[in-house]
Amino acid sequence: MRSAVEVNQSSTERHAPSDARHTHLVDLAAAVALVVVGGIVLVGALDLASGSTSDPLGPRGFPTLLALGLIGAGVGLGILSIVRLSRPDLSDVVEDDDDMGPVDRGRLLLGSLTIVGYVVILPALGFMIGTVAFIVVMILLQGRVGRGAFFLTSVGLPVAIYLVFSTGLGISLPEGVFDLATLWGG
Amino acid sequence: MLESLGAGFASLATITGVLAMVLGLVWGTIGAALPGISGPQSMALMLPLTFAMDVGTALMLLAGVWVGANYGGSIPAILIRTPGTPSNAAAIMDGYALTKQGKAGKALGVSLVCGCIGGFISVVILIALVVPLGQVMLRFASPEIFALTIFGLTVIATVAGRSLIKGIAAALFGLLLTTVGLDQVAGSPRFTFGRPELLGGFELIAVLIGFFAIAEMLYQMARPKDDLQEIDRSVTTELPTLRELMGVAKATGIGSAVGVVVGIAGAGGAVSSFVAYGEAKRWSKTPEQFGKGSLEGVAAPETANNSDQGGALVPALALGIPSSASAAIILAALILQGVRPGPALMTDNSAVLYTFFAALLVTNILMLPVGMIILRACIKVVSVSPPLLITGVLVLSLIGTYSLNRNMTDVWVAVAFGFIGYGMKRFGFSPPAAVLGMVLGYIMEGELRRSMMMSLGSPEIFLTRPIATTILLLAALVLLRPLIAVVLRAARSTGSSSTSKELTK
Repeated sequence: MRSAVEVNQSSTERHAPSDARHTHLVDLAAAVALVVVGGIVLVGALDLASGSTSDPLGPRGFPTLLALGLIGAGVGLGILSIVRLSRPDLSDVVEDDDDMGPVDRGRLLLGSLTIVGYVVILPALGFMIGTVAFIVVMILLQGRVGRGAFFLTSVGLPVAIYLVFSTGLGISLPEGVFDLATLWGG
Repeated sequence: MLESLGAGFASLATITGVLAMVLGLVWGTIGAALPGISGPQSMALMLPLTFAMDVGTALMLLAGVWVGANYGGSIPAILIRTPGTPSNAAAIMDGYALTKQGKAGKALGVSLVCGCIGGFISVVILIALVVPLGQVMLRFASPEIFALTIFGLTVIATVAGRSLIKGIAAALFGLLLTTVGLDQVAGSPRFTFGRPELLGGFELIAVLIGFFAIAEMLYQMARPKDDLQEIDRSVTTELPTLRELMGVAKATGIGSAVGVVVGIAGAGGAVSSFVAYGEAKRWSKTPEQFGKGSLEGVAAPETANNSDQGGALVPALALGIPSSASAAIILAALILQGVRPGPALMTDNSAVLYTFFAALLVTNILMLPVGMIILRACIKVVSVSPPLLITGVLVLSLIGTYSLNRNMTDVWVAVAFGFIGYGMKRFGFSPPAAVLGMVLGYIMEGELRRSMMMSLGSPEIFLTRPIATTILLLAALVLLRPLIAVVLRAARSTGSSSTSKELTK
């Protein structure tokens, strides 16, 4: 029996070839970011205790080395990017599975906000209400699914997780509005 | 050793142990069959559950997940030309060709049987190697161990994506994360920004879940919708006949050897499976059949993919240096249970180690019946629509993270690192490299500081100890290799342009 289904095409499908110049410009921006992050860590490390006779590196030593490493990586990436921008014949940009092609920025932004919203409301509303609401919003945000699958997931998944964690493993989940002790001021 | 292994087997013979292994196998197989979920992600999602278990049961569960994931990813690869994990991509070439010929069941059967054989052999080699290697390591002092962590870092960086510099940067970022919290020697707070929640540092599992699961789901969410694919739900696994097994014996042997070696080197299942495919084709009596539905073309990569397990665990268990994301998660599980990986594992926690060995051997055998039974379930989950999959994984990730310490800080950490991990992927940095760096960071700083204490602050200690110096030189060679390649390419490019100028005069 055959059925038509929708699946994600992943590693084996090639996306449209990346613009090499755009890639190198992005790399240049990433290089700047690395240098900035390294610089911030280096400044922060200066506030830490320096080494002593018994501990020559001290709390400051390792973060300082890492910061210098990040700065070095940023400078190296920056130099490579500039060289590749000025000498395209030396560019070795190859298309790989991480080139994800067009991005649905709207869906990504709304999805991200929904995730953040879920984490915000979870303690207040509790696991059941919060999770059902999250699932409903996330599914509607991403596209159409069958009605049966929609209801099964919206209700069945939270119940299943509750049974596994709370009943099976004895791990309490946020109760929120069902926290009777809080309601009674206990 | 045999006595200890026997004790390890004995510890599996409980209802809890068997249930943990079977649950792990089922979850790993189904998880890896799901598009967008890989072996490390399946394991990361199980980590919160292991927190509530004793270390032995936790390792049995994770052993099952790992073994299951290696097979599970081949199901969509063979049936719908979409690998469940990158390690199964090589199986597509002949696996999908067999599906088009109506022999999907046979392809799945060969994948299952050869995968089990490869996994079993690799664990035997692991057991043979890790204990003697660990004994050698016991003689290593802090400078040698630190040099090994540097070497491990360079290996991580070279296999983490297409850019070495980005790989190094990602690994350094991971190391940096371990500096947050109380200093391990002085006990003073570092980079906590006055927040008491950060005194214990970032919860490792929360970061793992953020990088592996949440970042990946954000990545999947941002992709446009894909084309419909049909799938034959009547497929059942057909085990290969004895004659067919003999026919793929050479390919299976090649896959085992390649998988173990590449696994030790840390290049990962994807590399081992493609290398094994290439070598099997080269040594085959019928190379022209490869790509057209050759059983050898399925056997070699799937054996390699599974035998990569044992190889990857050799440096992880013996040295405490993970060479793959899955190995890093095993180490994370050990660390969270208070078990320190590395040479000390042999002396202080050998019972745990042998329980894990026994679990790996048994799960590779159990995979055979489990894989056949749950094929139908796997076919159903391959059909799960992406919105349901993404939502389900996100809920599991966030609630799983909460369950660690029952506080929302960990959840926020997971979410934050989910966004960071997504950003890293978009800019070409590897989140797995950062995770590997984070696991390594706990060892690296301690050994470096102890080395400096030994030498009273002089870094010359790394140049006066031959073993440490040799390891550091090897690390430098690994790092410099791409740079040398660029310089040579530039020189060739300059040489050929001046030659062509001369020819046109």
